[in-house]
Amino acid sequence: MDHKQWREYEERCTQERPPACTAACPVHVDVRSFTAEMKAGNFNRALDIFRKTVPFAGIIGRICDHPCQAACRRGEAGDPVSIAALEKACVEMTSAPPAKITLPPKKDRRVAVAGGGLSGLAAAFDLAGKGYPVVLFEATDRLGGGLWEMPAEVLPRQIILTETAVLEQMGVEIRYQATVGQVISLPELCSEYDAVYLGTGENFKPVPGPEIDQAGRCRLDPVTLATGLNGVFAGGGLRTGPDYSPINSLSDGRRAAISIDRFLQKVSLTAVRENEGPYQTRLFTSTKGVEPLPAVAPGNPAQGYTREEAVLEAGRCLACQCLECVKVCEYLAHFKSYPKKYARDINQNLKIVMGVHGANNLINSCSLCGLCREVCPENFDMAELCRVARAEMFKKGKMPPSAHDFPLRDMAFSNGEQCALTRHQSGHASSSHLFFPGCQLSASAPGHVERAYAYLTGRFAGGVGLMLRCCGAPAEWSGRTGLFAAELQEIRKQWREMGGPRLILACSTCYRMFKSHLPEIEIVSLWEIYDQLGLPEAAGTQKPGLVAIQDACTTRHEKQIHQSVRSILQKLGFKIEELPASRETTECCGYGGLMLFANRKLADDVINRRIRESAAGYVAYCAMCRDNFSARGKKTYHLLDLIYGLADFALPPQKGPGYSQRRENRARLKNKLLKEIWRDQVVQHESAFENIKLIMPAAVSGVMEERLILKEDVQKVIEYAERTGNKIINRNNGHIMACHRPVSVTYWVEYTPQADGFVVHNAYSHRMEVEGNN
Amino acid sequence: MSSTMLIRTGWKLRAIIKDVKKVAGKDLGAENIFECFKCGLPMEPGKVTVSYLGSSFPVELLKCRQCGLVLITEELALGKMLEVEKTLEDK
Ligand code: SF4
Ligand code: SF4
Ligand SMILES: [Zn+2]
Repeated sequence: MDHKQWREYEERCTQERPPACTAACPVHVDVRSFTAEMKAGNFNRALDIFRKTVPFAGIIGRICDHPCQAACRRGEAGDPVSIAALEKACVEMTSAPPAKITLPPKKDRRVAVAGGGLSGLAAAFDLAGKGYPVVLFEATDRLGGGLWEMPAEVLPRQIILTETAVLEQMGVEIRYQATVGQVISLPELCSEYDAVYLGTGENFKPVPGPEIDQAGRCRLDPVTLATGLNGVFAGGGLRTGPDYSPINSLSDGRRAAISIDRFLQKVSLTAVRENEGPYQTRLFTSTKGVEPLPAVAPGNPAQGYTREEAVLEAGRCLACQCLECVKVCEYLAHFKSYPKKYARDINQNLKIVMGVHGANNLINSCSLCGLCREVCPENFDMAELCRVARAEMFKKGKMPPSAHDFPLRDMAFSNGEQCALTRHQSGHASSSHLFFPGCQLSASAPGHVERAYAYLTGRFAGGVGLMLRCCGAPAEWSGRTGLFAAELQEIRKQWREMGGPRLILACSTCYRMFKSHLPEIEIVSLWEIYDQLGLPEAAGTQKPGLVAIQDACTTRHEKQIHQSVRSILQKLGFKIEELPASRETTECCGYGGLMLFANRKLADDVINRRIRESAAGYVAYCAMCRDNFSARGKKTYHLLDLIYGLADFALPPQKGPGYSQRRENRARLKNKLLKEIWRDQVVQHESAFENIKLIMPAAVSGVMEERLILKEDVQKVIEYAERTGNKIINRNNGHIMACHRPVSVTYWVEYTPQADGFVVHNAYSHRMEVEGNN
Repeated sequence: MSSTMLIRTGWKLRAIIKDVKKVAGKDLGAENIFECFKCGLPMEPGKVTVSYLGSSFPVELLKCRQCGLVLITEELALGKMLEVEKTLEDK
């Protein structure tokens, strides 16, 4: 992705868009922050926020016609927030003096403002604030225009006087009793001043002047408020006609001031003015599950809210934001922000040549499960960003080696001579089908691979071949584009050699990889086959009960798989509980995207969150889901456990095999099948290290599992140390410490020889190279 | 990206490496309990170069003065050494 594409991607996330109220407000008051301060009882700070976008806050706060309220999302759960009443309470109960206005150096181009109503006042205020000498022509002998027609109980006269007095402090020259068209004509104004703002209200009869439409309103450019006359702008009642709206008048004055400033600086009048005035926000806000609440009614309606009432009412504000994805994804929540910011950080991370790559962990921790895209109203897909970023990091040599080293070596092992196998069915010269169980099922439950294969060969007459290997997912997930392509190429080649059979897949991840990257291969999931061809006779004693289904995240869009799995369970007599997040919105088990290796702590949180979603036992159709959940103490069964009647619901959760055992299972599976099905001679070429007999306390095995150290790593260290004598003795306890670096990791083992074996006391590793030890 | 970032990485590394030395120093004090099996000599503090991802640093570690074998304890490997590795991986 280039810079522009990243920017566009960032823009998709709506989280930084303003809430509906702010967008609907013609001057965009930051209502969400305002109500937050009101709720906290900080009325002074609330007033500061209000004043930031509202000049003459004491006036507007009392009379605003509040178009924001109609847009307020609280209205979907009870009444909209009484924003105007809160503003009134705020300005009435706060006496803080306005912040000192510091004026910039005076500019030399002069502006005339005709009319002292709200729009003229606002234009004069903003232009004087920018340093322009402003002369305000007012027809009467006081400022405020239509404000004086408001009832005095609503808008005390003193307030009009004190609030408008600020203009004189800012150096605005005010000419009273100076009706434009009488004391000075419009052409005269235009020749004496560099720009003119007409805010003379709806009764203005300009002769000669700007164009007037049939309704008697001034014809204006809707964006710039320019009239047909060069340098003359207009707004307020002139634009709106008789529907007087104080807040729209104020907004007009401010917008015209922007135009006049640009006009005088000779820059574009129209560039980047999209979101001036009221507009619809893109911010998505869910009100699902929000308890409806009516507006707080003031005890004395004539007085408005008391302090306490205002605090209560402000508390009803939903503080609108989106975060739909963050709510459902532990990963997105873990990094304490939201996708727009993440996209920025990732883009930044990719651009850095020298310096700290602070987002590496963010990029590598995503499970690439795509749930964000499902729930996001704009289809923001963190997985896609992380995938692109990982590939780029690897290409540039900036991928931290420790993140994916272990699973990649595991993949190499699965696809190496010891485990990989591709054969036609015994006694067949061709295959109509090819069973691809996947490396994790072979590792976790090799017996299931045998059972499923026996079932398939019994159901299809055209020969069912077998392919044992890994689909290459770890390469794709870790950004190893070239390696992944090579893995796919090898599969494609072997599949062709087998005569292009239909592939039967037991693993959801394999399914996903084949579907997206090998579209020429026809695939079907094992679950569809069981569902269509009938379940095998199972001799088990298992009693069906209630189970909750863990759909695999890699097949979230495969409705037929979801359906088959449910249908199988029903046929088996199970009652199904649907988890709140299931099918297309299912959650990852922490293995996806190699999260488990790049960020173990987070993967634990992900798993713990998921296993708490129901008290029922879970049934998974991905070996990793099953193993990850049961390892954290959740009763989880593989669908094949249930199909073959092997689940014992009375037993506590059954942990899956550890990393060393997984490797052994794969290698043994190949050997066993070769021997039993194909009657092949299996040549076992044992390496020297395999003869090292280990005596391993359970605690040490646990530590090794956590540190991703395999039994064979320990065997290699001991074999090396015993052969070369390169070892260190601890005189205190007689333990031997030795190290060996078979790959880009140095393994250390603390051990003691015992009879014909070795007691292992500890094992650890580091990646740094130490001179003298290599 | 800024040279300050770079300097900061450098600083952080230097600080960690100082720590590595300190931890190594603690090992050094471990009352001469380690002995090189091959040479029969006690492991003694000595200069060793450690390197990762193209960066190298000299540190003091327990080492056999004759054959050069170096002891890396669990505390060092999983503590400060790991921290330096992570810092370098994010550089
Ligand atoms: S769901 Fe997430 S990515 Fe989508 S708009 Fe909301 S916060 Fe942004
Ligand atoms: S609930 Fe609060 S933030 Fe949301 S629209 Fe209403 S006032 Fe604005
Ligand atoms: Zn020695």
